[in-house]
Amino acid sequence: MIDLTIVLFERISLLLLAAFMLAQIPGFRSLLDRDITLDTVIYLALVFGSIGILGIHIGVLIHIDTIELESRFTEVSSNEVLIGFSMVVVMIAGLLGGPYVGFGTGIITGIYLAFIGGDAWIANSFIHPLAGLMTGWTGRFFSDERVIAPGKALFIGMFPPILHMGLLLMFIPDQEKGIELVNTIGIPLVITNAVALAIFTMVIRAALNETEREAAIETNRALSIAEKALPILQDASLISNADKLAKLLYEELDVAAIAITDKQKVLTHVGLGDDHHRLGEPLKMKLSHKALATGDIQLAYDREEIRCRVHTCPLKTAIMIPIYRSGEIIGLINLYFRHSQQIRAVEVELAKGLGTIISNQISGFEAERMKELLKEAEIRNLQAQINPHFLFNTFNLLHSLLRVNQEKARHILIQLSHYMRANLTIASKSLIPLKDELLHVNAYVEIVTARFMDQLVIHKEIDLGVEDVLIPPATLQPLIENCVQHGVKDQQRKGRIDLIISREGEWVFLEVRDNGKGFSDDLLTLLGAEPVEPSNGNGTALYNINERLKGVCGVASQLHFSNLPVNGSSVSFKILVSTKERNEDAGDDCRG
Amino acid sequence: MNVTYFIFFIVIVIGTLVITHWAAERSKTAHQFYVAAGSLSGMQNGMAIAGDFISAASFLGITGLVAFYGYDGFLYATGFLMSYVILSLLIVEPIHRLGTYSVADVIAARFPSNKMRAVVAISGICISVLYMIPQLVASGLLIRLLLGVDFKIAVCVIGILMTVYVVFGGMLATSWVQIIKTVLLMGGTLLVVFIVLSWVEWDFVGLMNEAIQQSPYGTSYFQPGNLFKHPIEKVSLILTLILGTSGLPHILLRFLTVKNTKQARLSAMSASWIIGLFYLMTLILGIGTIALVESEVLLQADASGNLAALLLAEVVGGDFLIAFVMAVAFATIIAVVTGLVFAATSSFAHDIYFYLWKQKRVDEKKQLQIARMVAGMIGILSILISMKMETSNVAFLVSLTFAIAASTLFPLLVLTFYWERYNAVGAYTTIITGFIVSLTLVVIGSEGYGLVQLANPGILSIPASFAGGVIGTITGKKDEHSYQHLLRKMYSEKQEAAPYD
Repeated sequence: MIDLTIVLFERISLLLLAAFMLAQIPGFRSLLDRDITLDTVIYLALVFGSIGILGIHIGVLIHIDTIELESRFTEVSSNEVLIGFSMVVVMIAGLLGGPYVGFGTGIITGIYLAFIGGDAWIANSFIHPLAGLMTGWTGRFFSDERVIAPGKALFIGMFPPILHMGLLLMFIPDQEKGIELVNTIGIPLVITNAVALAIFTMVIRAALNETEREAAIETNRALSIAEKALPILQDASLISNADKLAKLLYEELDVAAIAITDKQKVLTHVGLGDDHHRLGEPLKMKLSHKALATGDIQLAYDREEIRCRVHTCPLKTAIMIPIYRSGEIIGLINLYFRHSQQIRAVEVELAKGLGTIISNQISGFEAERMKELLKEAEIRNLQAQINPHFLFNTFNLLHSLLRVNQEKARHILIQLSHYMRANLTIASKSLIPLKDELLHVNAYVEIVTARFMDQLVIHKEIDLGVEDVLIPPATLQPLIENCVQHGVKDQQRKGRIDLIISREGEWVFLEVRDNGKGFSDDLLTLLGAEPVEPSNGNGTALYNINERLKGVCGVASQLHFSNLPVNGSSVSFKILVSTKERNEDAGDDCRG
Repeated sequence: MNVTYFIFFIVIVIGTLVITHWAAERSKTAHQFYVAAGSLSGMQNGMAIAGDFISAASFLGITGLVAFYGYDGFLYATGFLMSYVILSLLIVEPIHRLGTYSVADVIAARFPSNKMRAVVAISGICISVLYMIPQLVASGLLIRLLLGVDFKIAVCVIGILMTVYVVFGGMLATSWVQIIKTVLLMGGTLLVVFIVLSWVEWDFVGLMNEAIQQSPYGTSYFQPGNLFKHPIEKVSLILTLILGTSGLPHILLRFLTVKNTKQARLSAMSASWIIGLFYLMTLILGIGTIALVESEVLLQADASGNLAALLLAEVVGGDFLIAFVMAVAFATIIAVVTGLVFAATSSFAHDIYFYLWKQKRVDEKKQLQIARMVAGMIGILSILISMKMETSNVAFLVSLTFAIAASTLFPLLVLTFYWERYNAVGAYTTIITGFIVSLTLVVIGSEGYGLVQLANPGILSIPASFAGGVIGTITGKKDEHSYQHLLRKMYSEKQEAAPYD
């Protein structure tokens, strides 16, 4: 029995070799993708049928009287039984193509076997279509994968040979001989057929699925990371959540360590080497700077490139992924590995995908936030346009001026119209020239100073050549309004507001000062970071301005709040003179 | 041990373990563990029911009975088949509509007291365990006979396998083990039937004539009276078989694993087709056995006839076919005992632990953990009990189980579903009368001490339990709301999709 099993295995390995080569042909794979229509069934049945005929010819002959093997044959005489391997092919056809393909293949091989003849030709021809149907149905019943799992194939593959034995018992004329034959070949055939079927499916699965599966797994992983990263990225800047993000990535990815950096320093390091890779270290790797500069993924393949000063550091290779926000690089995610062999094409692709997804998410949230803020500004402007108090007061002012000073009244009326027009236009743009913003400021200042004639002085110191610098609309005017409302209004002495705009190299510095009561200490820490409780009017004004500045011009442009040494407070910010295009990109993103 | 036999056994064991592994990944919630999340189709469930129901005693025993006694042996089989008519007509739909995880749920829908739940759960566990022990003992004996291994080892192997399936795979693994067993059993039996027919050149009439010639009963082989001498005994046995099935918790539970009542009825129907065809095939096998196997060989091998099918396989197919038939028998044994362990487990873990002990205040994870633990304990306990019972008369336990099932749970279910006046007192008296009468009659009957010449107490105990129920109901106070309440529960559209997953 063991000898026979070994002989059968030897033969069947030839068939598996052929199958393996067949599975490497690209056309063969696409064959399996097609929907099963009548012509594909016939086509597949023909293909498998011819392989099945090959399988028949690598089989062995058994003399029914002596139960002896004959390894090569040309024809089968009446007291010999042919043990071919066509059944494996029929079963695989059934498993891959479904019951109809299996049946078709079985019919072809069955007819061929009937012509070859031999003692068991009825059983042999009968079992093949039956085996095709059986494996087809049971395969569908147990699994809906494209190619069935080898374990299941092994199990399913046991039964057609058993049935075959049953048929041999039924159809071999000499029943005693039939029993002897089945006892000899039964177990070897069952084992070899089932194992061959399992290996066959394994080969095809491997050929077919490896790339698909890996891609699927990696996609799945990237998606799951993206999903989990969503809440982390949602609520604030990358910097404050770097730790959480790094931990998440470390858990999800199979890497030695994760570091997240901004453009200058390491923000967090999780995983191996965290004893000496500390937070706040400046970026050492040349490749990091390259990644930041070019925006492309960089790979460090050896310790030299990582530049770790600790010699025992386990981290040998790294992938550096640049992270963008609204088209601007804001930092890196570094994936560290122990060995360079661990970086396969898959890892690089995953890193790329991850970088894109995280960047897109950050930008997406940023855009959403910007949209919110723009909406706020719009609403605020709408409010300003119809701010009844302001209008009333201005009309009252005009009313009294018309009696005493018509010229002044005319002037104020013009300023009011400027002010209203500015309010109307600014909502639709994300950046306007500074001169337009100053017109807006001037109009407001004129009206206000006319109203508080003796109580308020507004000084402006503006450097030359800054008129065309672009600035988010409605930034200066509300700052001044804020000074009037909160800083100066209820003071006993004369209010003074300074607007200072100066240029230093690439930057334009803008500052608004007043001599009022200043910010209270607890307020100072909150200002700009979050909306404050509105005590009077719109409590979110400063916060909104700050967010818009950061969003449109970058973090460097955020508002700075301080109290002056004696009395009063200062609010200042800076914007870049030259990078006009970048700002416009950002503006596009914001609107999107 | 023969290599061929061994390979087939290993195949069955590995195949079923693979299924369990697959099912274990899917048994994460209580809903999935107890009722496979209602995921089985009617056809699949029908196959599982057949797998649950056709025990090795039917497969090997009925073949032997037919071989030995002809007509009367087949009568035995018809009793099993007919029970499905009662089941699908009276029991299936209400069970499916009212039950969640156990039979006690169904009764609790009308009598929602904890005491009632406890009584039903305990009688359910009793029936399952009483049925499981003889199955285990019989299968141990069978494996010893087939493979020549020690009885204790055989019981251990089967016991551990069944426990593993239930503990890890829950209802899903149990169901699939049963489905595969049914496929194997039907396919294998059909194959043997064809081989037998080919052996006599497809001449069935010739086979029957040969059987008449070979049988010691001669021409009366196809006439009644060879096995049952006593008509009352015959009626009693058939009655017990017919009604007992509707009181077996492991069968009733199976109707909870499908999506809707239509599928539940479909499963009862397909199960009865499968079981009917199966018994027809055993008839042919039995006749084939007596015709082809010499009767001395038959008697010598095993006087109870359990080896008939195997001897037949040896004659017509040699070692290979015997090995295959044995593997089928092995799968059969495993599937049935697995179903029984599962029924006992769900009764205990769901009714006693979850409802009565913890008052429903347990989270799902803990509940599952306990269910798995209980399954393990029941498995180990039944292995230990069965190992001690090698020499005892297990047929006694089988008839006791069927008698108790037919005279406790069956009357209780029928009266609960269909009698408006029925009340809680009646329910208690039904169970208690049925239990006491059937137990007493079996103990003093011819299988027990032999004081009364009645082997099957069904003919007395079933009417007694109905009568007990009626008397109890009349003495108890009237309670009309419970029935309306039940009807409302039954027919207000049960949510088809379970809320648990």
